[in-house]
Amino acid sequence: MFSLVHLVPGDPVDVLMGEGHSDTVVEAALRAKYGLDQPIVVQYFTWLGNILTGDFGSSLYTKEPILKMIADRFPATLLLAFASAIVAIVISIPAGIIAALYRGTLLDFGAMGVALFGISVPNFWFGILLILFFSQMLCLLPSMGHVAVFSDPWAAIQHLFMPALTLGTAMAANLTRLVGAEMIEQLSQDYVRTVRAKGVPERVVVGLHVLKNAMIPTVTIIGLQFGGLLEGAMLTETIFAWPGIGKLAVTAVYERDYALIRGVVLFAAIVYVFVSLLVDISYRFLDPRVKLK
Amino acid sequence: MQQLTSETRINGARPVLTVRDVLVRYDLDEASIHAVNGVSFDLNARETFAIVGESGSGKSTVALSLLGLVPVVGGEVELDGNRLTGMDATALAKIRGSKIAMIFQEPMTSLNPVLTVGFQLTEAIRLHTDMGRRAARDHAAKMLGRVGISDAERRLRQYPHELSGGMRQRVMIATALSCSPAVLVADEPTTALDVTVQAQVLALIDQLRDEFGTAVVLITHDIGVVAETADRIAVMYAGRIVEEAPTAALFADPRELYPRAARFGPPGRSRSRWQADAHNGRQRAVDAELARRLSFPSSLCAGDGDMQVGTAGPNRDAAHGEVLAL
Amino acid sequence: MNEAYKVDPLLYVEGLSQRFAVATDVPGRPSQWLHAVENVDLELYPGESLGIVGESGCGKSTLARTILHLYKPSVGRVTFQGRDVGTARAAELAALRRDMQIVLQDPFGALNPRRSVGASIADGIKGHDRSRKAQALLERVGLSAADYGRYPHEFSGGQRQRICIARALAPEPKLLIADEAVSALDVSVQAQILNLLGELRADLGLSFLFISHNLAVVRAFCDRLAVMYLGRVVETGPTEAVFTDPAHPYTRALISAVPIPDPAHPGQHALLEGEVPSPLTPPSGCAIRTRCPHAVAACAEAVPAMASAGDGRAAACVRLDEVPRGPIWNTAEGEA
Repeated sequence: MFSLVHLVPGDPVDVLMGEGHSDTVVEAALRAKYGLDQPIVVQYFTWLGNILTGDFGSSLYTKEPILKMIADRFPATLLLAFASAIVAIVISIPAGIIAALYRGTLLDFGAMGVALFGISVPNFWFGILLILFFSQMLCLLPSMGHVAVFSDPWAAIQHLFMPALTLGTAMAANLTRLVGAEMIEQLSQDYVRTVRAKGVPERVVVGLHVLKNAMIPTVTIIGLQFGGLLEGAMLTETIFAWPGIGKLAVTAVYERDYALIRGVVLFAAIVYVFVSLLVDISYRFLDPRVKLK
Repeated sequence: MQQLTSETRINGARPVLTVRDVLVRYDLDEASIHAVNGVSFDLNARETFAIVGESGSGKSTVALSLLGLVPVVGGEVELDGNRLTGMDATALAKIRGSKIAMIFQEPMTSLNPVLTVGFQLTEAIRLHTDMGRRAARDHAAKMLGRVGISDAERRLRQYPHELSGGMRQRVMIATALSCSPAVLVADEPTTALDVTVQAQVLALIDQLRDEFGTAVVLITHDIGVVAETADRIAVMYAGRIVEEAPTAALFADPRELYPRAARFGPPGRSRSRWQADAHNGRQRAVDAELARRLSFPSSLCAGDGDMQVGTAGPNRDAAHGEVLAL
Repeated sequence: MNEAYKVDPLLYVEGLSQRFAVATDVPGRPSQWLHAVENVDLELYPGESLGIVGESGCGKSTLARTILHLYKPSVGRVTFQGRDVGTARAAELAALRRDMQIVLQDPFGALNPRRSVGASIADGIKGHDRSRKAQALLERVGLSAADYGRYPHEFSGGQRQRICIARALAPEPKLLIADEAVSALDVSVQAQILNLLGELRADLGLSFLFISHNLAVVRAFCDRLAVMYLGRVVETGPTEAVFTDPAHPYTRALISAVPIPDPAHPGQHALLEGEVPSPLTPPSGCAIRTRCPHAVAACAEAVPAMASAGDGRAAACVRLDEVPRGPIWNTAEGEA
């Protein structure tokens, strides 16, 4: 990753100095200042040493500390991730249950058809469709930007609605299929027969016994997808001008801001590892057969 | 032909469970299979009625049909005067677990792995009685004691995977009997257990049958288990009961192949006897039994359509012309 | 079978133990052991059928795999046809293994579903004419040569087990290890397969190590028995002698727990208390003592050694002379 950004054509110094510059002395000074005149290997170890001391460095472009830039954008991304996950769960779990219970009927085909649609349709296109419909045609919702929840909750929800729906439906599509398959699998287990033989009403059989088992793999996928959302959804954040980590990463790439790209990628990796750890720990509570050692 | 619907009644009392011409059909993609093809029997109070047969004979499907756990397409099941077939799901759920209960073969997979033993035990009690949480829990602990599980309070907090196979089967029995059902259906309750544990569980079922006054329908393929526990036996073959008799009578005069094969398989006999039979009697026995086996079903269902065979397994081996050992 | 004892054993197992590390401490050293097989001595003579019986988890299947050196034994030695299997080099071990074939319980999982059964059998045959020899083997086990090109899913369970037997016979082995080979089959099919194995034994002079939890099957098929409990052999002896007058308390309980298919003679079950303890934490001394009705303080002190119990039998019990003896199944014989 570190060396990959250097393979991309373009140079941060060119961007900093503007188009058509010719001052080679300034250019050399800038390169020396940011350590860009060093071999890549040396740059890497310098950077690694700084990271280990908690120093993510500063943006080459805005000179702001990278950690602060990430910290500024992260709440927006976190909010969007939560909202998207809720949208996904609210859609996918009932849809998956319905698909499993009414297997082979129109309801099943309907739910799975929607899921297939959700997987097939690209995010950016669906996002643009939403903007066209809600903002352009109905003039109901703002098409871009973000309002902090605490300053104006209603405006925040209005701004949040479309990006969350875009990301949430995409995530719901995969989850619906997973929940459906998992419910079918669990419904054929021996314990379901035992529970029915006890005279437990079917809604409790499905809603408690089966669902609790089906949730074990589902929570893993929700957790990992949520981890993915926290890294920032580049396309969706760009379309809705959502000031999150994804948008930051896109900007950093445009500006060849090596330091910022590195910082964002490293941050995303740390978040992902952390979320995976949380998912593993959550197993302990979902599945009594798993013991923490 | 033999009278298939038994009129055996003890002291003229009304049977607790009446099964008449039950028909269960599994619809597969290419064909439908009559897993149960017109089964009738009566079950008297406090009686152990065994249904034996090889795998694929439909005996487990009969067990499931008694609780309406498979779709019954024809016939009637009547429990204490209530007709279970055709009953709506809500009413049926009220009877399952309270008046008729069931235990299954696989104690390893028949309990929900993510819920505690206590929850699964109290669930039926709370559904079918007006006991509160505390009372149900006390009753559950008492039931665990009755099935020989000590340290009940700790067991109630445990999950199924923390118990051994025999212990789980005891939990299943405790759950099934917790609402004092009139009928207990036991589908191969000891098949998955080791022989020393099997003996314990069978003794337990027998003892609880006396204590609770429950009638037992015992589904098994193990002729030894039947001989020791059953009052009456029905032999199933290809979805039908082909023979029904009191245990002693059936063992004195085993007409159907299955109990013969199972019985004269080794347990009670010495090796030399078995070998002698294998050499001397084999040909004669094979001829007679193969003829019986292949002709029996067709003579049975003369007049009511074609015979559907449950699985290809054992029958296919026989039809292949192999030696049927005796 | 007494004349057979004068020749050298085909298979000789001395002090065989198999332990598996189930947990490790932080530096990676094993900290907890599962004692699957402990200090087992066995001998099997040419043409003999030795039964290994015991409840699930007693180590009988592990014993079979350790004899084949599919697991390297932790301690002990296996001598097959006079050669130490443990020190055999790769080529020699391969040759020894051709002479020791195994038939497993599950006839559904043991065959490659994507290969014709003939091809599976022909794999084990050396030399020319492999397909013709494979067809002959199919006929030998009661199938037809025309089945050569068919696939496993086209056969019933019993037929698949016949195919597995044909495959095991392909390298012309001296010893066939049957690990619960009939346990998954219906009773009448079990009898057919046992008949087939009996015929093969008589015709080909095969020796059998016959592992089963089903006492009835073992009684029908084996000349001698070894009863295992928690990894150890607790009693050995000629089958009929063990069945009619078991010496060890565990053997007595095991045999008497089998329901007798005769309502006129209800069994006199000497019920064992509780269930088999975990092999991770076996009881000290005699492993059966936690369930044994005859246990005394001395039982906890040392693992009892095998001692003669008459009629060619040996049993590992310190109270061998005090434990009540006598036939269990005599009444079940014949009449009814």
